[in-house]
Amino acid sequence: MKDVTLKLTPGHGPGQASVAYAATAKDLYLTTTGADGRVFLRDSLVLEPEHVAKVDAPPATILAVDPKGKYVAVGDDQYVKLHKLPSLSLERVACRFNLTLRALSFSPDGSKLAAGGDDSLIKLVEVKEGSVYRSLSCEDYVLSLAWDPEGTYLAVVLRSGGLVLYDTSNGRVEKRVELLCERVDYSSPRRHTPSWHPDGGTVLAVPVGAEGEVVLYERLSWEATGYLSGEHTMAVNVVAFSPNGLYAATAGQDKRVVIWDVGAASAIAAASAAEVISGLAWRLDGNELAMVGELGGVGIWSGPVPKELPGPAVPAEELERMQQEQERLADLKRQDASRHGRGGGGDADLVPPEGGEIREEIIEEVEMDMAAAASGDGTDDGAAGARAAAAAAETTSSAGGHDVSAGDEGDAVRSGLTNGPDGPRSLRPSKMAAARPATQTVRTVVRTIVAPPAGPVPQPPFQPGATPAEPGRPRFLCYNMVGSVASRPVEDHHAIEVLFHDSSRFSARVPLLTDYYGFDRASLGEKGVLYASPPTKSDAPQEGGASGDVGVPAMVMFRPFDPWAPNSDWTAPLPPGEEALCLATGQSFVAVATSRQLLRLFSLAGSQTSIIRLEGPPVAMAAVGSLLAVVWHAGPPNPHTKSQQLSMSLYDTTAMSCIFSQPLPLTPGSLLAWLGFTEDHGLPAVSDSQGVVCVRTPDFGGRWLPVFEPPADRRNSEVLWPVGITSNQLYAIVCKPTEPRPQVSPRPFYTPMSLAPPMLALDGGCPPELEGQALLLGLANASLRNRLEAAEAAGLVEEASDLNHLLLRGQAEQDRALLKAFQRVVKGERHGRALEMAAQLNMFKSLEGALTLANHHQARGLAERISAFMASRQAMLEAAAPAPAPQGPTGISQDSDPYGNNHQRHQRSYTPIPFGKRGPAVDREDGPPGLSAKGPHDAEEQAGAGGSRGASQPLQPTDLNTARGSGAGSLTPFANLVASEPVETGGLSTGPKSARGLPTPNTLLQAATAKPDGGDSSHKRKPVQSYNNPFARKAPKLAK
Amino acid sequence: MPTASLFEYVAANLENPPLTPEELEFFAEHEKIEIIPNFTLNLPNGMLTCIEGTYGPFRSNIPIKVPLYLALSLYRRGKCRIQLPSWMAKEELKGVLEEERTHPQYFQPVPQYYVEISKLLFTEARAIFGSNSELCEIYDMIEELKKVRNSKILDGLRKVSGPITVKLNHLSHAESNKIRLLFENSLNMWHQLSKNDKVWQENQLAGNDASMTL
Repeated sequence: MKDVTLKLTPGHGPGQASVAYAATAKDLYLTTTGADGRVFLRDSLVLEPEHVAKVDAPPATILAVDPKGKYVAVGDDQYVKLHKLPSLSLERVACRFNLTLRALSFSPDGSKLAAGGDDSLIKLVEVKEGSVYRSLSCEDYVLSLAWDPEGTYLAVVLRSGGLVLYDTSNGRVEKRVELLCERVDYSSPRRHTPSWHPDGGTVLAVPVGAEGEVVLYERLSWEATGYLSGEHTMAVNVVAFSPNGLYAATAGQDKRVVIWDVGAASAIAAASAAEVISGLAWRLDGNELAMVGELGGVGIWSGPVPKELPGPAVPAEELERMQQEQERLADLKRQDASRHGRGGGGDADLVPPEGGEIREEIIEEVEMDMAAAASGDGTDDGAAGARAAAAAAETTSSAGGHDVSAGDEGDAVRSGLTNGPDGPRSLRPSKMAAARPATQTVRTVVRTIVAPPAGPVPQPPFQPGATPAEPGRPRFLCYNMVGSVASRPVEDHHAIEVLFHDSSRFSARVPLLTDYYGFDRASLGEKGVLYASPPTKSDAPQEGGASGDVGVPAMVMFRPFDPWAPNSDWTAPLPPGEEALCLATGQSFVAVATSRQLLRLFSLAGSQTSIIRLEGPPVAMAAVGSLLAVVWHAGPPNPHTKSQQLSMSLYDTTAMSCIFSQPLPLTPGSLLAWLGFTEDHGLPAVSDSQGVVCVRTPDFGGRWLPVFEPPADRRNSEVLWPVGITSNQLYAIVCKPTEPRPQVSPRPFYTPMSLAPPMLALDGGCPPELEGQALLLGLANASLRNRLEAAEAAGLVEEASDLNHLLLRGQAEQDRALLKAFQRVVKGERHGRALEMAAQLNMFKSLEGALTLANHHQARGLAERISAFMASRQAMLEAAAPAPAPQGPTGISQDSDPYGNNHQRHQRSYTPIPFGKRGPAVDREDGPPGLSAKGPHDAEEQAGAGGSRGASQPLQPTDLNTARGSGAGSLTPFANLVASEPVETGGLSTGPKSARGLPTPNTLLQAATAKPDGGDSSHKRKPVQSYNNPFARKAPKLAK
Repeated sequence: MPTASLFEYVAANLENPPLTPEELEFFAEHEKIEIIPNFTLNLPNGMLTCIEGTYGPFRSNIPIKVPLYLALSLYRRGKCRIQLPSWMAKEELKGVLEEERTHPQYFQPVPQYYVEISKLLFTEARAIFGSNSELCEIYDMIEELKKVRNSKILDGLRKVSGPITVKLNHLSHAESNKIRLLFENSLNMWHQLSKNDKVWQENQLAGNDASMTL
């Protein structure tokens, strides 16, 4: 226990001082007196003196306040005077002494006053008349007096250390204890004040000994029943019970004040002051302790009793009530448990805990011979048999009940024990059965309550972009890149407002929806909003009378934005027991995942296109175009890593196909926080509760690539709430950590942030951002390739050519990023890595740029290898040219020759084309392909990007083609790769293939090395176009 | 050439001062302010090219900084939300006002065109302040700020009693424009007088007659 430091304000001179609370009719005051002979009536809070009186013969060592609050008795060197409260005007002299007064005590009714001091005499004064009605003589100086709350006894502590108890009614000595306290000097300011327990004086606490103990005497028997010890190191000066007697405060010569729990006789708080405390007084109605010190300081210890404990002034009745309340609660709990337990033998009353279940196991079957009993009884065998069966059932059920209460008390998994087969109670039915002729099987059943598995719970379903419900506050049901759906509570219903970020995109404003269902989920799409409400239970079952009164079922409602037909809104009630958990709105469909693990697909106008059984409880859904992503629980979370076991399925609703269904890994231990698609490429993207955003790359068989992590330096000052993502930016609302969700008002806006995969900063000077950028662009290209493949497979010529074009541009972008990284690496003298980077370049032009850069940095060896690599690439391509294209996508390489340099001229930055509306946008975006006049400059431009415009003597690839025979091909790792191809001699082109048979960037690089100057050869290489490619048609003209 | 008296000068120039408040407002309209457009500009890169500069990209719900005139014209067409400038936030204003009051010898740094910007926003974009009471509160505080600063300026002007260099840091354009005519010319006048005085004294020293210069 740590000591509180008490700071006393100077009030009186050094010497004995005294303090008491005075509860007058008006207010509660604190009265203090001290060696300077003044009596103060102080404000009980700020201790500011309000009235002051001065005694004639200082020091005024002692005061006592009449319990009625009318007088304060002050004892000085000669007199005991009564001062009126609160004015402190002198009322009368109560009695006179020859020597200094030391102790005063009012009787509990306030009619009498006991006074004692160095006169070895205690005078009992009738307060009303001011007359001494009895004098009690004692042999020594009186240090302190305490009048018992019953008014019978007076406890007197003497200088010699003795304690004397007088019976005040007759003045006899009731009990005398010698040498209880320490003997003190004549001039000592010690007090040794005892204290009676306020509860009828059942206990008298007296300081004892020099070691700072307090002894508790029992009333009447005057036996020591307890000690308060172990805290003070020196003798205790004052003891004071709290107004309700739960606590006692002691102040000792060691300048400490200790608060004790009297019942437990243990210290609960302690404080230290700068002086020895000469007087203590508990506030009558609060948790405060007033004190005066021997140096004259006055202070209040506010809150001496810790907050978690009952207050020191809580009246006894209140305490009793509190205790009863506690007992009642405990009783209720017990009853609850036993009620659960009794259960009437039915399973219905056995409620397993959340997530837990009840298992039954038959451990014993007893054949009961009913016929034997019938022969014994002969009267009513059937009834008896029934009774026996009932008894048996009761046995099991009570056993089960026992088990339940045990389970309530305890462990995670507690298998209940029925009374064993040889237990007396289960034996009874079998004995009975033995007496019966008919046979009946009585089973002893062990009912086991299996508590929910300890550890993480599966995360509940959620709607991406929704903020949690807070009572009385508006919330977002959905906030995405299209707009927001906000629900605002209005009296008995909600008003749902749909707002678009881009108000020009939709012709009509969406009217405010007055929501009486209590929609708690919504999904905003380009075509409309889908709402879902939970079922409401009827809250007045007795009113309807009929048992079928079930309230409003769960509802699903769809409101399209620009319907051409009237009545295009639709509402669907779900059957009882089914509830919509996840919603998604796509371009041509809406989807609802329900609590029955059903995925219900609707068309926009509400025709039900499909019902699919989900593989697990749904967690979240998102839709774009015709794609629908569903995340579901594949199993309980891992109890060790606390990771959710999620899986994601991606469906194409128009093709009615499942594109993939695979586990969804998140940061270990985190929850899924957001689910969506990249705006431009339609790749699934997720964000977890740690803020890490992942995008699923089609490479590696479809794996998740972390593309964004919250910056470490700002992780404590802001929370990013993701809204949407493109291939290079994350749109997130920046929130404060104290309020991690966006508020409806003021309307939030999102901030674009550049994606940055967690790349490592290798030595050699290439900043990780550059490589990260290249990686992201590679991701975009991978998705484009994927879509291209799909489009070609589906024979969508237009789309394929658009995609092709986009892909080429994306590859150019990637090359630009790679070249930047390449330049840094060359600068950092890491030529090996630089060569490998060059090998990743998509375009032949870019390779030329790399070569220029290498020359500029005087990296001859690197330049040689690059040019050798280029030459081998070209040679390979030419060898491959006559051979028929083994697969469709080789078309890319053919297309690349007119556009191989085209990409350089797209000076404006790449505008992401929304995935949803690709066709026309592309047409608008692509520049005229015939700008190839700048061809020769391109290499320079490319190099210029890397800052090496003025390469003095660039090595041309043609120059080095001759040197190729010297085994240069085997020098590059890539060339090795090519050389290790089994069909190398045949010069077959394809190189490494991805698992899908599509060329990876590397294979593309091999295939795409057609030089623009060899226009005729590229012409030749063009295979028969299987589709009508507008760019391809223009290409030959341009090349000439 | 005899200098025109201060009164003459001020009277003559009062009708066409060197800078009119309207001109100041025009300048103030070039101050940048943050808006949140609710449209996506369908131009290359979403950039909008104006005569004096190119702004953008305009993408829905992504804040950008544009000049005030652009912000207001978009706002009038219901194409954007204007974000209240940070210095116009209630707490910020309260703090500045408090500081302004407690330090009589300095001016607090305020935006150069705070008078004009606040006036424009108050008249043209009342809705951005949220509720009406909020608007009134901010309006009152800005008025109060203007008053406090004005009284400071007047106090300062009273102290000018010679051809001195006066440092007026953090004075906004509107405020300096207000005192420009009077202040500049009184200083000029002081300067002229002191010059005359000097000549006169020199003449005195040379023993010449003073009447020659006057």
